[in-house]
Amino acid sequence: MRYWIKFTKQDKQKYISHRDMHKAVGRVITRANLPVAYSQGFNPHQKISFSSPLELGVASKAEYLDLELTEELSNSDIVKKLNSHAPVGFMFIKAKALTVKPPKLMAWIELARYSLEINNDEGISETINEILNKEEIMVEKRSKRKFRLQNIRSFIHEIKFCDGKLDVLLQTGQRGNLKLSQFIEIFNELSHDSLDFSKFIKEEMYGNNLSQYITPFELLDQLKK
Amino acid sequence: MKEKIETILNKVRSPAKYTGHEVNAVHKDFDNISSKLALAFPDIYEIGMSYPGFQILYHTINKQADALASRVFTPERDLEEILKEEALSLFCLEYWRDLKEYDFIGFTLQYEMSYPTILHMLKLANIPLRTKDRDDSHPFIIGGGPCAFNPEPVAPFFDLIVIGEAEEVIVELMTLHKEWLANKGNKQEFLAKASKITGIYVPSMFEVSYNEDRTIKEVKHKADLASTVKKRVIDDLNHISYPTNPIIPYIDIPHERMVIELFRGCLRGCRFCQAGYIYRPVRERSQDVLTKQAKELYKNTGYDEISLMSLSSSDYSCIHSLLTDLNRNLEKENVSISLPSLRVDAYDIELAKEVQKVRRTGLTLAPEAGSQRMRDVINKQVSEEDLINTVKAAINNGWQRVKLYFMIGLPTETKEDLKGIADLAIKVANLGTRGPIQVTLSTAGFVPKPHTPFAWVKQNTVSELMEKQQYILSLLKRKKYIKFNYHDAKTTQIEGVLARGDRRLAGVLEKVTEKGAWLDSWDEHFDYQRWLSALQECNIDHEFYVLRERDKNEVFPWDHIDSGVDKEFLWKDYQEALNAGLTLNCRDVGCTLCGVCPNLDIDIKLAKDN
Ligand code: SF4
Repeated sequence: MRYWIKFTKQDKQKYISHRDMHKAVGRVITRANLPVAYSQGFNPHQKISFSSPLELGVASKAEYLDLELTEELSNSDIVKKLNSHAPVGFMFIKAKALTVKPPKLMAWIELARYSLEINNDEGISETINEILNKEEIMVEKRSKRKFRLQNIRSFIHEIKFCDGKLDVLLQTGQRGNLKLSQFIEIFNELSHDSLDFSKFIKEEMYGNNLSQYITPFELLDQLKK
Repeated sequence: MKEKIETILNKVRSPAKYTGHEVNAVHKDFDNISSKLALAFPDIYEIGMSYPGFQILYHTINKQADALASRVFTPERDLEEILKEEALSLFCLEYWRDLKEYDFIGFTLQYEMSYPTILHMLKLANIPLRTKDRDDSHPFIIGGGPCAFNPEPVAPFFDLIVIGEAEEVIVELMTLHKEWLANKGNKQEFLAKASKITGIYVPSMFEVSYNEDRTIKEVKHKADLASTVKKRVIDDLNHISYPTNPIIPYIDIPHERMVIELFRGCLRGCRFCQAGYIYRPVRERSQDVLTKQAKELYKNTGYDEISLMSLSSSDYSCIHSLLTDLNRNLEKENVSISLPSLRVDAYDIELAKEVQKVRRTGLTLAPEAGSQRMRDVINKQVSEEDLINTVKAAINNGWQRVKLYFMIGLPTETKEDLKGIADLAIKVANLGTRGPIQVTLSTAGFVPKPHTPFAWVKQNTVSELMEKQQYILSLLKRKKYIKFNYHDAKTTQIEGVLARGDRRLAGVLEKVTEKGAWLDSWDEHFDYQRWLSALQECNIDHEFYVLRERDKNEVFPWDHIDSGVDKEFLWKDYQEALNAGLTLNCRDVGCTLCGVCPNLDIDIKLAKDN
């Protein structure tokens, strides 16, 4: 049975790289004694996969993983077991059994929402407008030891400011990716304030279904119908 | 400080090394704990975290209600630079507090070449290096580990040093510290009391005088209270706590696996091996305790490999039934068992076969010397036949690569003995059934160590060692299936100076650290010229320490550190060695009178007698 599981990666755990997190979560699953499925072959490994990598140093309230078990367990049971073996900073929020075959998490997710509390909002709306009114924002992109310039304006989907909070929606995943740190660099260049990268948190991730952006769990609900 | 560290960590590579929030890391209420100890490992995180001893102490201390232990390693250059820019002191992983806020900083003295890194770390913590330059506001700087058996080159930097096994001493020390805090004493009072604990050496209480020929005249307790410091040894390993909840690093480290420790001490008595003497006598853990620990470890870590650690694991008296037991308990969990220190005999291959999921990638064997005569000199009791049979058995069981370890520069060594190394490697390679198998041949320069029968020996010069390396290399020409590695002869020279050095070297260590020495056990960081100029600036002739055969009655810098093994026994064993005579192990032939058991009032303990 396959499951999608939502979890957080907060506090000091934000300093763990994606690869190391993969290993760490694998060990949580082992210690929790979940009947995880193993791949066949010479070097069997646990059947787990993750949503697109979170940038090192950014905390998140919404990471997703895809887990295959050899037995069926209740959603709440899985969450409870994982949490009793998870290190502080990792919290498993919700698990959902897959009843139909969904797309791959990694490929499906396209957007990530981040938020940041701001102390000084002087001139912030001007900066936001300035960015949103641009047609072109060029950043250097590295690919195979070559640098090229890329217009990433379309990767910035939303920037909002309300209740003292900055809320940004950025393109993420395989079909274009804007790192939060790159966004902050762009923002800080144009603003009076300087945003502190380390205080951002990822709030949610979305993918596209029937030309609507929805969360992974919403997708599962829609697919069921 | 914490806020600053938050932002700093976004700028360094591999920040996960500095968070102190790995699984099974312990966090207490820092401000309400009376005795706080920073466990310091003078190398980078990946190396320090691979030492089980480090984790043992961490958990032993944290088990005490009134004490806490945190970890600190030497930061990588990127973090170091930021610390300097921001005028921040070195901090501990768990609490992100300045090292100066601790009551103790406890350094692991694991290998000599790490000494400059110790001083480097103290500097990063803004703590004066020498005991005499520190005051009551500074933490106690303490140390322990194998190099504590000759701590003299670093003695002026340490308030106290633990000699021998630390699990019990450290708890006694924490208790004493709590009492001392309640009585508001000064540092000297604490050290005076601490020095009464068996296994604690307070260097400042001892005075060294020298002869005209630069050898040591006498090492004397200033108040004539004790002439020696006895090592601490744990009578029954079944009764001390062993961490079955080790910290699990997030980042990759060399050994990611569970470790159980079968026994301490070693029966073999290889004459070059310091561990074989300083950890005597052999004390085995019982099989029940070990199996229980293995099961708990698995539950708490989720690792898929378990290593059976000891100086010579296959000597464990119940090895067969232990393996069966472990297999039964861990097989279904996909856990593989590894036996690190395999001996060179077919018996071990049989054992390895028993361990079903043993990794068959490469077989590592250490004959240590190339000729039978040379092996007798070092008391390595294996024959060529043993080695050949072992490799044959290994090949039959699926191994395809063999690593062979040898030493060069051993006492009485001749060209013949060196040729034996190359010959043996070639012979082993040609045991392959379908053409020669891959052999990796590694040689290390021999460094005579304190408390061994070779403590009197003159070490080889750098050029002697280099010539020997070249000679072996010349014998391996066109043998493509043999890969030949050798240790840098210059590192060997400096290691030798520090290993048998005395307090006069402390200044050299300060100088060389000032000149930038750091992580000198790493080839890429070691700079021989830097050492030579530091030695020269301190007017110290390093040849005095290494290139000199010592007189039978010479007072050694470490003579006041009592390992329990009698110096006369070591001398006699050295004479035996020069005649290529053997000293058999005391389990098989009975006591050979090394002195440990009566001196420390302890006995050999075997699991099979339980
Ligand atoms: S005193 Fe005797 S029995 Fe004890 S370790 Fe030494 S040789 Fe072995």
